[in-house]
Amino acid sequence: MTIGTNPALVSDATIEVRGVSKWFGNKVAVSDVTCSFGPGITGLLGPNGAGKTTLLRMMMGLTSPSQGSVSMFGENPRRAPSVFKDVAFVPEDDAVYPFLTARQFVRYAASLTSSEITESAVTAALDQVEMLDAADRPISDYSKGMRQRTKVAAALVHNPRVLVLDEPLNGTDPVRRASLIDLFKKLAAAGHTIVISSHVLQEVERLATRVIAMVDGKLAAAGDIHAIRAAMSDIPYQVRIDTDVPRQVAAALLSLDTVSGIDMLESGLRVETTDLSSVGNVLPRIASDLDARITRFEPVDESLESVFRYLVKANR
Amino acid sequence: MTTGQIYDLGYAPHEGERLGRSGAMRAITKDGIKRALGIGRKARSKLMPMGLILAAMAPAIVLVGIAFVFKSEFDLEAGDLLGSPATYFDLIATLALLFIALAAPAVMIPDRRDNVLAVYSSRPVSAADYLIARGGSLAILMLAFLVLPQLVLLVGLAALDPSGLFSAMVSDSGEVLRVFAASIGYVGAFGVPAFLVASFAKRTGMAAGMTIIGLPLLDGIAEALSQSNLPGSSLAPLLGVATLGGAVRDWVFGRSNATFSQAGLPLWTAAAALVVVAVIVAAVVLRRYRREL
Repeated sequence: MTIGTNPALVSDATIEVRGVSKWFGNKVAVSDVTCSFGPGITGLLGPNGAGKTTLLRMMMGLTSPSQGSVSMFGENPRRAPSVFKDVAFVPEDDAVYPFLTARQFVRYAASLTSSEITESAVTAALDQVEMLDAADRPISDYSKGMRQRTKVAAALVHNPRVLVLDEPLNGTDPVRRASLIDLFKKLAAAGHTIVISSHVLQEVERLATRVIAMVDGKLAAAGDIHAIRAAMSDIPYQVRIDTDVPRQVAAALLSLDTVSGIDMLESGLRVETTDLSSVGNVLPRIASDLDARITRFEPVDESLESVFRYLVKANR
Repeated sequence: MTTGQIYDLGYAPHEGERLGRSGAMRAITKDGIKRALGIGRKARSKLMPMGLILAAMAPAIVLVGIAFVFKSEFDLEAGDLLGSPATYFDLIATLALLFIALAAPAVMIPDRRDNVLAVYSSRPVSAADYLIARGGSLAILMLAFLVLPQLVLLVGLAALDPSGLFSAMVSDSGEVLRVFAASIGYVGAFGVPAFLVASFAKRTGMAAGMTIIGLPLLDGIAEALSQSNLPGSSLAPLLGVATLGGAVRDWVFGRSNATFSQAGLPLWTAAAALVVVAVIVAAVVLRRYRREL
């Protein structure tokens, strides 16, 4: 749930970032970012070098902000390590001991947090990431995707309330990727706070409805992906319309003031409009007048990719 | 018609109590001990640590065996065989240096090399907690390495004592405490520098080599300085960190130490120097790890 009109903030925040900046010498990695994270999945989005990993590292207490503050469960994570009883972090780097097996590594990760980790919980964590078959082989024999899933299992084993993942799907094959996405969605539905950083837009699009987008260290956009697109009023929407009489439909649509251009496609049209609803409202009448059959009416650019491209352009 | 059923495998997510820093520190300490000894790893990893432990134990086992065989004929006691437990340190000090030079990198370096510090950072431990736990595992290992053979010897000989095991152990209890205190001196002299090197070196072999070569080299420099006429040369023995372990042992057992006698330094200064070294190393290593943890 967002606070007031600022979609970067949530009311039930477990992690709060307030006016945070981080610079390394002359380079500003993160600049005056304010946002918060609560139950559900939030995608932390941005191109490589946008400052996502630096922000995550500050959230996890791995580095202190040059300015501003970060709190987790209301505490400074650098001064109160006890907050990590209920937190897990999956870093982008390998971060596994190659000489251990996945089972040994997950068991050890569990022992760092709890005295009562049962073999059943270790097995469950490995099973959740589909690593049971290879669990007793040394990690040095694993592919990148398997190491990635081992890290996720180690993070899940103590059932943390907050899970922060930096590029967690790197190297995983499409099938395992889909199952990890399902797993994260289930955890989010169960009330866990999940923050997933990624530069792969399709990944975040499948995972999260709420995004925090960073460009050049700054907060470029925040909130629901569709709402962000709606806020981009200065660039036209693109709508795909499939019909059996594309030329006639195109001619009728061009009479609308809100339509700024039309591309003819093999089986339909791509319409650029500044007001999506005006096209949607008028289309049934055009179809009726022309006796046209409309088989598809779909906004085609409301993807994160297009939002993201826009944000990068707008911020440079 | 086909039928199907999904079986409940009984997996349950963790719902147990979450421990704080002490629980995590215990786990890190235990892991450090296991890693240094190669427990849970291939036989090759166990070869050196276990071989060195056996080599350190061997004199004690042999001496107890000799006492057992010849006791009735010669009425042997511990002192007859060894002079003093302090002598046993002379036998195993080099082995202890090798042991800790190999153990410290095995405990410290994989955490950085394999980027696993991030795992610790997302657990309820601070950089200081992590270092105390890792340093603690090395201290426990080295104490065990130095004390256990002496205990085997003392208990073995006490068991053969005509006054009985209990009575002999009571009379030897002062020796046990002195063995323990002298061992702490060796932990400071060998373990602390090995911990420092392993906290910065990138490769385990390089770290072990630096400790094994560096400490005797430093002793040699300290010795040369103490022989010179340079101002302050009387304090030079305090720079030879490795020899400070022997000086602490001599202080604890009331023996004289030629190097310190020549320099006119009381032996307690060796213990004080080791405390200073330990504090400096702790500060330097903490500063180094605070950047990553």
